[in-house]
Amino acid sequence: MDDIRATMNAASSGLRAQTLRMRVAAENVANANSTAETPGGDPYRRRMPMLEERKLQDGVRGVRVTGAADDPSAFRLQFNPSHPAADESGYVKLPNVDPLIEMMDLREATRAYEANLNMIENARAMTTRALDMLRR
Amino acid sequence: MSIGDTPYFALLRARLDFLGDRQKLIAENIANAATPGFTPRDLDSASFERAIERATKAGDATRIRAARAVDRPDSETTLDGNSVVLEDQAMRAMETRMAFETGLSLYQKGLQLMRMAARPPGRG
Repeated sequence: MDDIRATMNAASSGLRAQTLRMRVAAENVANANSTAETPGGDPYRRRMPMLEERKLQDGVRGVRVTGAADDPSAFRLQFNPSHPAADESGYVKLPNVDPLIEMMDLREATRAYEANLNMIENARAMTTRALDMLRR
Repeated sequence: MSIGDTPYFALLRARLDFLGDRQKLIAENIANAATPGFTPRDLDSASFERAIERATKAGDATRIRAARAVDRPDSETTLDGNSVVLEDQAMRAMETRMAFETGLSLYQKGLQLMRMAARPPGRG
């Protein structure tokens, strides 16, 4: 029974981590066009979730999101002199968010989420099957 | 000697423990499917099977030690050093679950046999 509980613990830590990952990706997509308000200012910077292996109780190796790090890659530049955030030469800095990458990340997170759910379902089915022996 | 210590049941119990433990490791691997630098683990099934074989020959299955967890990278490693492949793990989880259910069925059959042997003759 202990192993089954450990299975559920590990899988649920995975579910939490993947949800957070999806949240960060959603924030990036939502802000894909957020510019600065001041001329020449920096726009929204893409963030990346940091996942880390984490010992849960009973030594289960779960996972945890330790935070979100800024993506240091360069911003996109767009020539648009009439924009309030444009610098002296007329360029506006746009976020370094690539919707395609975010979509890939989302897809991956969804897949990992489903795998974790399946693990919980597996553990549940195994317990139920074992408990069924009491009935006969 | 209780019923649970007879070779048949002790063997099955060792097997079920092994499978439960394995399922736990698979859950850990899947939870860490996106953790950079993570290497999946699995139980050392070869040494466990040797232990089972030894126990079968000796006729004493009550002292089979639990199998050790060893690193077992899947077929691919990503750039960030993570070597979990979800498909491989899902396959392994399914295998483990099927083996677990087989083990439980056998355990149940054993109990039925015991019950049948304990019943007075001529009463079905």
